[in-house]
Amino acid sequence: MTSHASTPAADARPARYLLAALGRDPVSCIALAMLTTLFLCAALAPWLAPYDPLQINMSRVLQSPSLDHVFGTDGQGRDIFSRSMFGLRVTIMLGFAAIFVGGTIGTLVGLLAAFYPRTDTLLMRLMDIILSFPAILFGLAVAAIIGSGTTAVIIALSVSTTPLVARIARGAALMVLAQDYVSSGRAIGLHDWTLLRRYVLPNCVSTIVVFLTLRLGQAILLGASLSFLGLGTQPPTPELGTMAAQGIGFFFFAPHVTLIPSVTIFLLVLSMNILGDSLRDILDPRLRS
Amino acid sequence: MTERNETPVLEVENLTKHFAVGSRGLFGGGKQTVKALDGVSFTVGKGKTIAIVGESGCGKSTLGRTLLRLEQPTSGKVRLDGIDVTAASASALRAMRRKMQIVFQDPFSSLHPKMTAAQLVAEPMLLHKVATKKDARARVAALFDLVGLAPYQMDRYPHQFSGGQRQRIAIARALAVEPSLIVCDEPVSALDVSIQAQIINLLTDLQAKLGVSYVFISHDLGVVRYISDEIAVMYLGRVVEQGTKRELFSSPRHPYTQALLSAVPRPDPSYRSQRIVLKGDLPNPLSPPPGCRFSSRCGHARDICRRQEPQLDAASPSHRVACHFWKDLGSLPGRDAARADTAATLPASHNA
Amino acid sequence: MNDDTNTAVPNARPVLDVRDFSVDLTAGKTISPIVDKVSFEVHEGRTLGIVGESGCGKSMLSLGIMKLVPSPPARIAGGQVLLDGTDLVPYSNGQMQEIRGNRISMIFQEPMTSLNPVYTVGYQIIEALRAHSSMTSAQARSRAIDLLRQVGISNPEKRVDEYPHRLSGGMRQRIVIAIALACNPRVLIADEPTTALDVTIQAQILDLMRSLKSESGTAIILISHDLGVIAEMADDVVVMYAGRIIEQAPVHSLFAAPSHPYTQGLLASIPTVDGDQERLQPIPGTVPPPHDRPDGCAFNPRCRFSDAKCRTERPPLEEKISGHKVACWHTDLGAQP
Repeated sequence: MTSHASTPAADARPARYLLAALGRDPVSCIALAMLTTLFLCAALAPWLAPYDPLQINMSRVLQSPSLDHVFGTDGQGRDIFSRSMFGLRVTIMLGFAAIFVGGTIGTLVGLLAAFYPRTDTLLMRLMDIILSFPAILFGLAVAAIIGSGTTAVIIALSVSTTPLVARIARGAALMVLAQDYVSSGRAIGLHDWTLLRRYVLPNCVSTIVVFLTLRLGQAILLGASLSFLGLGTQPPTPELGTMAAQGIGFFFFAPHVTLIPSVTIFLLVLSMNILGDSLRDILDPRLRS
Repeated sequence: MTERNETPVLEVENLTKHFAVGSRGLFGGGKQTVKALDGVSFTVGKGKTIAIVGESGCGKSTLGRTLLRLEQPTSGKVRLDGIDVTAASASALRAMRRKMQIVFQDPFSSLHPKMTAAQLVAEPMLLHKVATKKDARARVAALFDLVGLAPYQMDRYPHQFSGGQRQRIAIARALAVEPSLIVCDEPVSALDVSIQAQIINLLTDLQAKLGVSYVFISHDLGVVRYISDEIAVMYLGRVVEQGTKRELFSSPRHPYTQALLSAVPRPDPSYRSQRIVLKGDLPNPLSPPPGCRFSSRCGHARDICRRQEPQLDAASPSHRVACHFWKDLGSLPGRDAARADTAATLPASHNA
Repeated sequence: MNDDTNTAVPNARPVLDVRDFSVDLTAGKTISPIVDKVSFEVHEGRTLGIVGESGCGKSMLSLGIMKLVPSPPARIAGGQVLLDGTDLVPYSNGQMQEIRGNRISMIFQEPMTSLNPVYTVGYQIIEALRAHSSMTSAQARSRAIDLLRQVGISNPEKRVDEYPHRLSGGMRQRIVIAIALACNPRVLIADEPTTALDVTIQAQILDLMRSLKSESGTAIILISHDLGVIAEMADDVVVMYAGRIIEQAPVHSLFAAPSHPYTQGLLASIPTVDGDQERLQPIPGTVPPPHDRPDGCAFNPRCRFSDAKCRTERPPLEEKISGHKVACWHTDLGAQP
């Protein structure tokens, strides 16, 4: 493609265009820098972390931040800096897994509901019912059935993400289905499945992706909350929510044990939300002229 | 047409399509039906064109979509090359789509925005195995040439083409599987006049070359005159008059056809104010007037028109009219007859 | 109202006198003229038809007269718009608000979107009336009902309280016309007023506009792509191509002896209901985009008379016969069909 200026608004744009658009807004730049740092820390944790995150050292319990331990140590003498890096890894992974699973199922449900009007009422009412339960409640229910753990958190988050994505996908698909090119695909004799895959899905994808980036921050926050409540990742595996929960007992004499993972979650979610917003502003055709 | 010996390409029998409007709510409430098509019948011979003419809401676009079973008909039959389309199973229907294609009105929404022109044209060929992956490109190039596009444009995306060029792509895509019938749903009404003429000429040339039949749906009687052999005029879901092009233009019988013809603005300043201006708007399709549907706007309506629905009556073997009084009305109303003379003296430039 | 035989332009000062009016369009780094030194006059009680295909600049011209060009990317680049002798181009937006809807008003193509769906039609007419006069609301309401009756709406006392979505496209366009005429404007600009309507409804609206013009004496600028509509409605016609006027003449003269090859081509490519020819004569090629217009005569790549001079020198708009102006180097050739 040579001229991008006239590309239909919903088309995916090259990364360079996105970065240039983000670069014009200083707040987005800071958020992008922050998020990149956090992601790098998470990705490179095994190489960057100064200590083994599981290494218990009862002689260095609850130390305040120092040159040896930049973020101090926790109740079992583990290095909080190293644990935060590994914890970030798990937290981000939980969010992405939930977005991936919930996004896929939600998209599928939304497209089917739009494509087969007969299933519409049934599927969408089902989604409404799921939507009416808080995600925490799902977490409790799932944990009660299969036991606490990472899987339980991912299932709970996915289930609570699915109806939101389904609604967005259905709306986008209905708009695409109203276009003549879908009828044209049907008229040449394409199978429904091909029509959905080749005609409807590619033209809904940008709308869905923008929504998912906005949802990612929320999913991470929810995942951390579930872990904080003890429903998610089990100790000793480091996870930011779990770590924050473990520090609660020492809050009055060693607040950093709780504060550091909490602030990390805060920065992660904040920068994601800021970026998600700018991404929507850049990609959403309705907000552009 | 029926007096032909050969089997017609398309036979439409009593085709009916009702839409339910509003949903049956939890507390009962009205579910109403719109009779978008109400017993439409016609046939199209090989290499011939029938034009379906009418204003918005007359059901002409629904007819096009129902013919191809893009909408499921409520009742009636459509036979293509003698095979029943209405009764075909889903898989049989997909195979039959090779024989029937459609070109839409809006060339800006009728092409998949993320496929190149070559992909768009090749897709139906590959699907119906008319071509293999290897020779598809050569066939696409040949089709490009046929519809007047340059080969270097093959790998461009739809947004890089003008409206007229996009319509050429849509036509090439329709022709890719060598169909016997193409439904053209207002294919030129979104285009500028000079481009419109290019596309109409292209369609007639293609028909002469390939022997394809058209169902040409249009609101524009002018356009129809250049492309059709036969014309059916629709009003609120029913055919009110049907005949050869010559019969329809030289001796329109139905008051609606007469009004429609006279309402078209002529590029001739001396024609002014010789029109029949119909009163009022199109009635609500949910509650069409009883009896003849045109009675609420017809200048000649009498009591019987409001009570009894007129059936299509043969004015000649090929000309049918659904009006109680077509015999009394004559072929042209008084003031229109006067204008028949002025019409003959169009500006000389017309023959340039 | 046998005004269509009256082709002589009255001597009085024109209501609207547009001189060398230009609008530029900025796209990226290139600035291209979309309306290029356009001049015409509109007289009281007469209709000027502006005809051309999409991209010829006719809509930008009408928005330019109202000083409503979307800016950026477009910008009024020069010329004068004299309304009763006063130039509007230097006017501020505040001053223009006094003019718009009062002395010049406008009707747009799409009757479905040019009315506000959350107010009754009566409210919208009253709003227009009270913006430019000191009527009491009771006076405005009764004037609104009069206006509705004038534009042919039956039962206006009841319709005045109706919301736009309850009305058909034709009725809405009547309401739009009523609003446009509320303040007895000197000039009414109608941009494709019937394009979105069915042909039988179009006939009603054209009839209405004709009778309103003869009653009120408002000057009308009618913009259309449809030469049929122009032939029926206009007294004088301007044909535009690629931002310029290429032919300008009284309506009878234009249709009897179209002189520019583009006008001739346009007439030959219209599918007509009458006549005998079996095949249309299309103009080859497409309208060039504003940033890519050829040198010389903008029409030369599509013209059968094009020669070296056409490709290098731009033909001026010159009066060939009385009142009939053409911008073509080959008018002598072109006039011969």
